[in-house]
Amino acid sequence: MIEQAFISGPLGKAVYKEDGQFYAIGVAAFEGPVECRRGDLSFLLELGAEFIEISGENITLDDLRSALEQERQKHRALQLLVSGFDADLTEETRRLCIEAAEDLLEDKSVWSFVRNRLMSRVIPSVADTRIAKEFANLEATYKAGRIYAEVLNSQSAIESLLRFLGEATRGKYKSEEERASIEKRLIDVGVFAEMVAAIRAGGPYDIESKIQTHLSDLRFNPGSPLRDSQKTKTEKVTNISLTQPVPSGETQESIGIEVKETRFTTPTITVQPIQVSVVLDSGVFLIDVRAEKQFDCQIGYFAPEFKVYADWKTVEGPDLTQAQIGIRELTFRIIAADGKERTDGVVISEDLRKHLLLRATLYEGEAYSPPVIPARFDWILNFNSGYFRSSNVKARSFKQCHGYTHQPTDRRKFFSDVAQDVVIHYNLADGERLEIASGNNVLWDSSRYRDVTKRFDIEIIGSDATAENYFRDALDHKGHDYWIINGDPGPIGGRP
Amino acid sequence: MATCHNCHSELVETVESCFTCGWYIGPPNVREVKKEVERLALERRYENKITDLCETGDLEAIRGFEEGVKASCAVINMSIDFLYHFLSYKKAVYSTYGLSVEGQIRIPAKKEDASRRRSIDAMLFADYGEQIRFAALSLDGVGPKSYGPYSIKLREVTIGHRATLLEENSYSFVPKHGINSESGIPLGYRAAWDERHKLAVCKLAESIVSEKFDDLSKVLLSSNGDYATDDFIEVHIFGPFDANAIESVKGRTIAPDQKLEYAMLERIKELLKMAGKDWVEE
Repeated sequence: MIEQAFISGPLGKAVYKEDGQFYAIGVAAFEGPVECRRGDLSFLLELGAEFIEISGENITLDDLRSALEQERQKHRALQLLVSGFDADLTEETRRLCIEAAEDLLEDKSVWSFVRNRLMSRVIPSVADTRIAKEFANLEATYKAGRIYAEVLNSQSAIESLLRFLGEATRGKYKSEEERASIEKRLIDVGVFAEMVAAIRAGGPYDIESKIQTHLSDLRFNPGSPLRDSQKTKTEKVTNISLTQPVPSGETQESIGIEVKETRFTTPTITVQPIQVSVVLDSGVFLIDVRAEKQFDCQIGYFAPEFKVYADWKTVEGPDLTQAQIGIRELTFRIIAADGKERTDGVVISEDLRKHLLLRATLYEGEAYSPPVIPARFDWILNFNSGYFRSSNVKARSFKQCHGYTHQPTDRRKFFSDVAQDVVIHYNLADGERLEIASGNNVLWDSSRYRDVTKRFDIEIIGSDATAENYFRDALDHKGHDYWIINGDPGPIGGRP
Repeated sequence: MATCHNCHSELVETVESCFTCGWYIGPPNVREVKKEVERLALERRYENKITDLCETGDLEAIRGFEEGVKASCAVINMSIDFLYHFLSYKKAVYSTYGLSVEGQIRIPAKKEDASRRRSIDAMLFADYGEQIRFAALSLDGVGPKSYGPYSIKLREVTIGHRATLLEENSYSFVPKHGINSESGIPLGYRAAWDERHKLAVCKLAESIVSEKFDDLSKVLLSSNGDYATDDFIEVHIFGPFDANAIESVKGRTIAPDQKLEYAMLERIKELLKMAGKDWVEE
């Protein structure tokens, strides 16, 4: 008779004890039971895999297999979505993993498990979130995208919560094992994710009572040190709410914990925002522009020349010779009055989505569609906020060139209503500024012009001579014939 | 009783170092099979077998097999989930989201139980059973499929000095030889890693000469996916190992229409490639 069993979803194995001997089974009927020798057990344990314990009367092998299968699916889905962050994997495999998780995420319990886990930890610094962002932009299509979008937007809230809980429970557990066990339960029942969502929402939220309620539900033993610690913590944090991410290095009392009773309103002075527009007359979008909301946007550019106007008067633009050595990225960022960077994400207007010529459109029906080689650009322009729209929409013609001789063939293509420019709009609220930076070096800063009250216009101009750069050199033709614009190059969507 | 080379204290047979001075004396399973009495018994079985083969004129038939076994490897079979985890659990991007609770199952697993003392483990390894990792000896890098479809071939340099071999799967070996807690293990049925070919000849010479086999790897290790009928020479490795001990993984590529397993396997192949390990198509 099985009375106690341990299930490991990540390993796809369950171990149970019967008549004093351990046995192992897998999900399939042919996978055991087989005697689990002490060495086998050690092997399972040293892999750092998670186990959940099942105990009760008359547990059958079918019960075990069914529970094992459920756990296995949860961990498979989690691993696949975490693979989306794995910088060691190719982008193709990362996409494959995320897409493969979709069917698993149909199951609500799997979906909740994955969300709860990803909302419980800050994404590690070694992770690469580019592909996750790509799916997050397609959250309406992908269940994984929904999770990624929430997780990516919750990083500062997760960091705040972890820091807060670390402070509040320091020294309150009997052992690290007990801390890990309790935290795991809170994460897996969704309390963590709920708290993170509440912090993001910014409303008053009593973390302490929420935890207390759930711990009672989980029937922790009365002697639990967390229960003891709750008294202390309750005294300390009753009637408070976390409303802001916790900046590092600050004390608990000053980390945005706000006493409800002392809230009051202060008179405000309305200041008209300063408008900023950035005009791009060429460039290759390195993101898929077909989604309206994007976390950020990279645009490859050749030989950019800046013209900047402050309240319609010419002023000095960024000096690219002062760029940080080794960095070829120019980052456009809005810095709020409190010194924090605004990372609202970018919005691609319907108008731009309709009129930006895509590489896939230019090469539609061709045997080979050359991918973009980002390393070829002189600069990558990087935006993490702003409203992108099309401008100067007109008909453009393209000629085909021979892949090796670069001489025009007799083929031509015409496209009506193609965006010749892209304009990016910002509104700078009182105290906000726009920076153009290269790594740590700020090359241009709107706050230098304190007299400006209306607007900045920044034009990034390329010459006609760069058409070959954009339509030939930046693409991996592999000797195939290629298409090039006649005259002044306009922007193009590189993906797809 | 053996004594420590360093301090001359009496050594405990089942540990790796001298209790008195900490002098490293080697894995207990290796010391056990390298004892004179054990080695002589294996040598005697082997010589007798060779003599018999000479008399019947079948020696040449066995030499090729013997040479092959000298280059054989230790393999461990796993499921796709197990392998997936084994290759990635130490990477920060994955371990961040794993919530393993140390000791959760270690405590119940360590509880002493009267029946455990009668177990196969205790009979073969006395007190150090929990240090033994099990593998199978293979000519072609394919292991027993009953443990999973993916065969992990271990690098010889990582295990050769701490591995010993038992003539067959211990589940069948113990009842076959009527071993119990009072009787010892019959002599001559275990070998150190560098003498594995002798054990293989003792076990399989008759089968090889009496039947014509196209594939000798299937003679050394036969598995049709059923633990009960698996037949192989069992490798006992003292102590743990990690993914760095892998030389290659052998298995069958999954069709893209099996989206989930296909993605998992593609990821496995990339992790192997990143780590400089080979994927071998079966």
